Amino acid sequence: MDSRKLFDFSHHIFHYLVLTIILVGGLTAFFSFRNYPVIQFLIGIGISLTYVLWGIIHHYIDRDLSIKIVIEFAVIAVFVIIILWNVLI
Amino acid sequence: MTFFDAVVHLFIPHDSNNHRPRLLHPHAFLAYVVFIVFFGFGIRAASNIAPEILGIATNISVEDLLYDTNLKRQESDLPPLILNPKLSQAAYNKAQNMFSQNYWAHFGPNGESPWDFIVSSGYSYSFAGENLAKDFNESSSVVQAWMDSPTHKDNILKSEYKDIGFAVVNGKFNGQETTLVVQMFGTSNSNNQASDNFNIIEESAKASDSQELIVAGVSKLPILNVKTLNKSVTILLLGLLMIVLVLDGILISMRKTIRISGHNIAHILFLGAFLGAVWLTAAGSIR
Repeated sequence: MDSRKLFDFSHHIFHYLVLTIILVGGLTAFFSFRNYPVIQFLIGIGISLTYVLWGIIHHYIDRDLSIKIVIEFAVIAVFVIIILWNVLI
Repeated sequence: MTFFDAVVHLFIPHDSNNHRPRLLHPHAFLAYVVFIVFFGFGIRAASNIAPEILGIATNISVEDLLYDTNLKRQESDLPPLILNPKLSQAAYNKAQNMFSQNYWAHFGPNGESPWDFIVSSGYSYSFAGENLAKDFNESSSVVQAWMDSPTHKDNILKSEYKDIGFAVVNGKFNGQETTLVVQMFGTSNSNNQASDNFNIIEESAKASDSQELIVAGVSKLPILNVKTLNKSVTILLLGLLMIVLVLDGILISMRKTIRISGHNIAHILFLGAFLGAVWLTAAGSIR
């Protein structure tokens, strides 16, 4: 993998656009259910799982998908889910 | 390993950490998960042991709830609702029932409905409604949360309602300290409204200790607020990880290091989104 890709949006502008749409759409849903923490928690789980899926597809297309990368995305998603559980539930 | 080496190992991509700051390794994220779980359970347990030190900060009064509710009605050119002791008693009984039966809903596990509590308090209604809230810190936040929800707003702005009752009660759900707010609306079907109002005044004058408790509300100010502490620790952890991710991305990019890992930009976007979400998350839930 080319290290220049780390902060380079241009080669995967479409991928990051999709990720941005996922996050903006997800957070819009999250805040529209303000005062309904259980629903917010479920939306957070949905966003996190979608993020893992996005990471797998992104790296698959990038041809550098490995189990290490899947684990990395998965643990970050679990971390966020636990944070939401702690704050919301 | 010196202190400097340890800092480099944790925060900077280096030979010692396989060119990925130790704080960003999957094992580190699992450690954060364990920490958050223990911290969450720990402060909840501590709040049960010493709630005056580490507890839930609440300042909700019936007076403020009534004022804010009637202010919203006034803004919609509706007459103010009159505080009715029977509806307040119904609201109090409903709150106690939710604590004793451990549920958080309009209808109880044994089929208890809001109307049952209203009728059993001696209030005979032609129209009645109920709004519920829990875990809020302030009266104004409770009313605003109801106003943000179309169905609860409909209750507050229903022109048919004449009377209102409130209960603000502290108790425990699943071992966790909670402040419940029950708001009961009603229109008496009694033909003798003047007599009812007289009774209300008379009953208020003879208010028992329990009724005074109902009317007053709940005000608690522990030294440390559990929710604020929880939120602050979470924001600090997310913020620290964001800083390390940005630093790592810059250094890896500058050094042109080749490594197999997820892209920092994606992680920064994802964690940043939830940092904002946690930051802006308001306390409380409504039914």
